[in-house]
Amino acid sequence: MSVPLPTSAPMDFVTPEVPRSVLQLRKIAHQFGSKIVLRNVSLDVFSGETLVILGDSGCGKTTLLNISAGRMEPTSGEVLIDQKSLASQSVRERRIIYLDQESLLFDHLNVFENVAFSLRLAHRPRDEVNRRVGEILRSVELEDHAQHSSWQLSGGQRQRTAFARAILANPKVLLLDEPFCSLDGRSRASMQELYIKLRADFQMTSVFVTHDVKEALRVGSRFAMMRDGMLKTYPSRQAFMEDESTGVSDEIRFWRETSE
Amino acid sequence: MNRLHRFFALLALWTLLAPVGMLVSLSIGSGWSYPRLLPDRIDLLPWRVFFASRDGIVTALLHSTMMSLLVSASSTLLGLVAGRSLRKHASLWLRVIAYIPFGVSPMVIGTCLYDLEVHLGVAGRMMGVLMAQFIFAFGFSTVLFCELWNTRTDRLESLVIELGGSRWSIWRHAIWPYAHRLILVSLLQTALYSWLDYGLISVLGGGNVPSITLTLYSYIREGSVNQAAQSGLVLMLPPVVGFAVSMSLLRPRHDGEKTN
Repeated sequence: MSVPLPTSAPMDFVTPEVPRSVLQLRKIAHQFGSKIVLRNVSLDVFSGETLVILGDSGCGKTTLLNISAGRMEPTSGEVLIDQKSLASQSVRERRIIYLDQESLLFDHLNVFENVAFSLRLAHRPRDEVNRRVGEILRSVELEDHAQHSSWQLSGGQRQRTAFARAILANPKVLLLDEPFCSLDGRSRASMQELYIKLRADFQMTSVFVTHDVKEALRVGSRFAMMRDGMLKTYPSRQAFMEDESTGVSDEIRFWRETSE
Repeated sequence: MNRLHRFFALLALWTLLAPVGMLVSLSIGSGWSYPRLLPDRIDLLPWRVFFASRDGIVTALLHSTMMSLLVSASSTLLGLVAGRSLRKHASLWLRVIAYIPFGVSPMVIGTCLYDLEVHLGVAGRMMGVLMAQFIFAFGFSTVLFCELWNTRTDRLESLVIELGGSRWSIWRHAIWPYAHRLILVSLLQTALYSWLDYGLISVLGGGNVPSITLTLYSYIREGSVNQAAQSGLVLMLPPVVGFAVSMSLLRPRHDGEKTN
């Protein structure tokens, strides 16, 4: 028996939340001299997601990230950040942070000051700086290293510091260019776990470039494959895993055969 | 091996210090004639006479100091800028030009510049000498600072802007911490170059521009042993201080160990 709807109250239509596109690449093409590096690449990066771009060395991943960050002008095409052309915004307005495998720290500052860098530049009150830096240092498990100089840190600790600094700067998009590839296996796994935790805690939107299939599957929420300057995005994790060209099936086959 | 090492160290020290000791004793001794082993009198009277003399030693000192400061400040400042633009828009011929002063004798360049300086009306004047010294010092600074502007400084600059920094923040955090040693070395080296210059001053100054090197040679020519030794010591003082400062600047900053 159906219950009649009350006629006096207006009906609430709940519209499903449409993910907001933070970064958009529109028909990006790029060439160095006569060498074509990117061919007509279009892409949307949605709020809160980690788009993983998998691809072999030299396929154009870093060039794509450099163009997305506004560090390079594409030969043709357009980059939009929050629906506005990247070229029309100053670097500060863009709020894009680029992290790569060599975690770049300010050697003359200690870990605390490295992490507090963006807050100091924004002239935030001292109490707020201490509180927020303390919190983030706890999140990245560096609270005991706050007063250490950057040269006293291991590769993993340096990377954590760079991450913490980037998160406190509250970027619209974080661009990660094989950030963990210089770390040993154990540090790498721990950084991947930390990354997943931070992404959830801080609702980070990021593009994560890697050539490691396992890393891609571990950290990614959406997937794309780059080959010969062309980008193929996948509608789902399943579609990505089933595509022979991604190398996921090879990896699964290898581990199955090894364990037998 | 240790003894041999110590022997050569002492020999080197003796070789360095013996001439200085000789100069000091010549500068404070009077009535020292062959075959006496020691001078008749040892006191500071010759120094008082030296500075009170009307030979223009004070004028020469002031001129040399002023020229050193002007040459070092201008060449370091412009070398910093030129090194950056040379690095950014590297073209082979510009680099070759920067190295020319190292490959040609100052006397040759001085002679080549002479006609030009006569034409400009600066031959035989301090401006003419400064122009010629600047060519050498500027080449040195430019080549020195080329090494500063590398991909790391580029990336640090980008990072500072991405984190919300201004031009001043770029200078303070991305350039100065890495450049200050080179800047000080350049200031010292170019000042010393100008301080010790004899060739350009004698060719282009035409005897009208007093300097401490010219004074020293004139005392040697006329056989004034006391004054020549005193001028030599005055001439040596800045290089010794400069050498000590350079050594302390070039000493590695970190001697701690990494923590893991």
